[in-house]
Amino acid sequence: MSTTAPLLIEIGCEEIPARMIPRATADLAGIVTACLQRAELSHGATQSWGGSRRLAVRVDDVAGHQEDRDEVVLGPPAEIAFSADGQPTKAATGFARKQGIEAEDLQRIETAKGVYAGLERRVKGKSVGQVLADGLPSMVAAMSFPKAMRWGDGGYRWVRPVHWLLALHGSTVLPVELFGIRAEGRSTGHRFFSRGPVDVGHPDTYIEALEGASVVVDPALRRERVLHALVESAERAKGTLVEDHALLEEVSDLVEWPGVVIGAFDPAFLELPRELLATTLRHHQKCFTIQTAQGELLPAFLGVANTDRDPGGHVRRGNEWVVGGRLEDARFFWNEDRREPLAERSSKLEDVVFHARVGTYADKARRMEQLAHALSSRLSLSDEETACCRRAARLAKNDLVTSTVGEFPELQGQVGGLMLLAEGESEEIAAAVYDHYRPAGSEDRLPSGVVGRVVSVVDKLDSLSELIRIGEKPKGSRDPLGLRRAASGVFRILIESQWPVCLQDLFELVGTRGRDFTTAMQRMLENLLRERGSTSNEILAVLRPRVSEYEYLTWPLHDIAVRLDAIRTVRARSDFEHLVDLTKRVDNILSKDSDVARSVLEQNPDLADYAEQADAALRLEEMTVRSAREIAKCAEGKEYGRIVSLLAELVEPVERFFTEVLVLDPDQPKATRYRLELLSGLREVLTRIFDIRELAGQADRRE
Amino acid sequence: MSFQELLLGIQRYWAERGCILQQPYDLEIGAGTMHPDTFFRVLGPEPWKVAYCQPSRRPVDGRYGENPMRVYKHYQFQVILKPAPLEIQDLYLGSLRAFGIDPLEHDVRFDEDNWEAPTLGAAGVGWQVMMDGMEISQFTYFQQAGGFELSPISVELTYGIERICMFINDIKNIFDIPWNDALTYGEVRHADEVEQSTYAFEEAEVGLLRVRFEQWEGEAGRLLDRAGLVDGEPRALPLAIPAHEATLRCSHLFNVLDARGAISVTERAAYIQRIRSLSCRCAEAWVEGRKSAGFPLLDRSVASRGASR
Repeated sequence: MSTTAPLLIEIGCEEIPARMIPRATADLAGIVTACLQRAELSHGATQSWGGSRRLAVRVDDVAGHQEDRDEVVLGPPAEIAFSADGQPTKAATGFARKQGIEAEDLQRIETAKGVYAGLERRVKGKSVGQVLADGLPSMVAAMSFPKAMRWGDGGYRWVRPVHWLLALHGSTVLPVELFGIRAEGRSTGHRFFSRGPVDVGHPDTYIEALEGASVVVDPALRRERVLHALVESAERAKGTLVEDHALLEEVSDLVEWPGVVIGAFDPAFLELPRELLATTLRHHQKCFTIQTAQGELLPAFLGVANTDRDPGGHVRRGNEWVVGGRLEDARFFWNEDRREPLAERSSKLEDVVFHARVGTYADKARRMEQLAHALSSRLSLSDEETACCRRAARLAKNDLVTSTVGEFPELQGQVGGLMLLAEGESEEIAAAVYDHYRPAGSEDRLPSGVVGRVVSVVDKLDSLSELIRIGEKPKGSRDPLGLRRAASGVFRILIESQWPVCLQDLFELVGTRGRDFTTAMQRMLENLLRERGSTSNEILAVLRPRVSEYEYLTWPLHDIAVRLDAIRTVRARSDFEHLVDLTKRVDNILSKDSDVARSVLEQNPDLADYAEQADAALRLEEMTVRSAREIAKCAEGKEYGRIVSLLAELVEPVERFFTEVLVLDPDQPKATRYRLELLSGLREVLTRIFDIRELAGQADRRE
Repeated sequence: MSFQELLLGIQRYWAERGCILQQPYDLEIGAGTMHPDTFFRVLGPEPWKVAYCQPSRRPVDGRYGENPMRVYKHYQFQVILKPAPLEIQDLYLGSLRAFGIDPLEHDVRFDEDNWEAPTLGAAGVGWQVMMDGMEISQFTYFQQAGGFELSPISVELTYGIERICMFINDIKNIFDIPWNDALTYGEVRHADEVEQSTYAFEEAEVGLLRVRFEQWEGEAGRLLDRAGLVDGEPRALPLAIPAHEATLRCSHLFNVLDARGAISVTERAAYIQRIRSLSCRCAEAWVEGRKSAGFPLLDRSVASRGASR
């Protein structure tokens, strides 16, 4: 057993795009451990870090050598390898030469398949250095990035040109080479604050050595330091930081030695809509904003720099200058846009293509208005509300022709809403336009008012029906047009608003769109339900496709969600598993292709004079009839939890029935028919609301 | 440091590192990349090192001389090194030091920015170089140009010299830049900005520009169509350079039409595609020409012997 030591690999390169660092760091860690595992080198825990100029992996307790092992190499079968007098044949000498031994040294080796000529030898284990030198280069070169580049003669391809490589096993430098760079025991520090190479010496001193060279290599620590500096600086500016998690992640990966600069801008810019101000600062300058305790923005910003000092005030002044220019531009666009009312821009949408094979945004706006009208009447909205929905739907896309949205696409919708408000449009319509892209994801909130929700639904529904019609439906992990997100948005609004709207209503709203559309919508609904925490089996139990393939299309989506909640709660009950088993058993008997059942049904015995004698059967019959009545009542009141309890009450009589009563009895055709019909009635009750057979068997997983 | 001192300094820096000093192209163009000493020379296997200042016209950026940072025409300083040396980032930072910018006193960063020029069929990977929050240069490793996958890879450095000059002098308005110790940038160029903006946004005659576009497009096509066989004999070679110039004229006319608001969103993509396909054909013609000449610069040093490196 060789001695173990920590392993450290650091690949140093030109600045990696911040958005790619987290994934690349994890990928490199995966590659290094895979390389060790494939070589059967034992190792301990893996850690990985990354920054703009480096990706690093540390693995604890890595064995220095593979174990030596005995290897058997088989050649030709013995009868071919050796002549009758035991001399090696041509085949044997050829094999021996290839293995680097004399033919005389070949042995006869017995295997399950017969005797072969061959040899046994001891194979020396490779050192960790050899293992990595052999394995790492091709794996690192094959790493995938959202965008990679070629450099030099065009032969090397990676995220950015590689400049140095650190590869240490304990204090030993490993003979690894990547992209023409040989590994050394040295790293490189901060681009400006550190001069010359940084001796690392041992994996244990890596983090420390880099800290000494003005590099915080641990991304979590870097983020923590950035946040701390931001919060502190905001306080110094007499306000609080407006937190922005995504921006924090991004800027933390843009720098290796973070510092924060506080800058000020002309308070006159505070007259701009807050959204525009904050987006200008975020979008162009990756700056944070500061607000007062009352939530008002201060005329100041925080920028994150790759330096913690600013002796000449250049960093602050530079940022202030650029921010001022950007705000100036934003104000120019906003004032320019304000010169023509939003409502008068509809005709300009004729020039904006929504999709080459669908048409322009003007077409889309017209369809949205019609859909808004139809959906309003489906929701029995008042005439006034209906008029609001139509107008908001009609105007929602008009901000696409403003310069402000041209400059800041992420403000689409919001700009339209702000303009409408400033132009004296009703608050409800302005808010509806403002929010109509919501919900932007599963975490995002819904538009707040009914008008906003109607506009959001009709926008998304229109995109779904039009794009799926021309064949753009999402496939596998590919969904470039964001249709799944659109569908989830529609479903979430219908469910969370508790609207009495079912899938069939949606199909009718957009007119006949063919099976592609309806099937895609059904699949996307199942997706959303899984995202909301239901398992595939629970979804089948609620939608009951085995009982009735299309019935659920007529259920309000909210109702489906309530049914799923009921199923989920009730599955925790101890008698529930039992109920599932019994239902399955009933199903088996009914579906069994038994001779008895078939011959009885062929005889079709007359039950007019049959009187059931078995107590258990009578009791089950009574309970079945009662449950059917009760369940119907509960279904009307949507008391789905109570329905499952009622079903659970059937456990005992069903169990007793199976213990005491013989269902299939060839000598008693009347009793057999009677009891089969009883079970059939029972099954109808058991699957009327939930098809709990779907919950049997394999454990299903929540996403 | 005045504008012209800066320009002299940056030219000297790159000349000392072996670049030939070229002059601006004598046509209206939108970026230094369109200069044939970049667009053509990055194609094929021959080495190349060049530096030049290119006045670049962006009609949509015109602001009648009223915006302190945006202008119809600005000066790009362009450097092409082919192949890109591994120490190119250090060379670039050295050029900043040559202007008296000490990176220790600033926040100099390389932020991802993947450059693309659809009308040139060109794309690259690289960064915008940010100093104290301001973009001062584009730093691009060309990956494709004229529709070709490139090898070797060239690096293109594009300096926004007005910005750098404003920065060095702590000036907030582009028109206040000292051109030399007597005149400001505004005194030299302001009227140009006012008039060109007025022309591009208000006066440009759309009908005329459209006709001119068609004509130059036709001319470019004709010059490229000279290739081919006549009676089994090769005809004259295509004229890559004049065809490229005709294409550049189309490109500028398109930019003016765009600023004039005369191009609808639907038309836009079609216009860009037309220019792009001409550019790609020019690139092919150029490479063909160099190939039949045996790539004369291959295996030659293109750096001047006087270079200090």
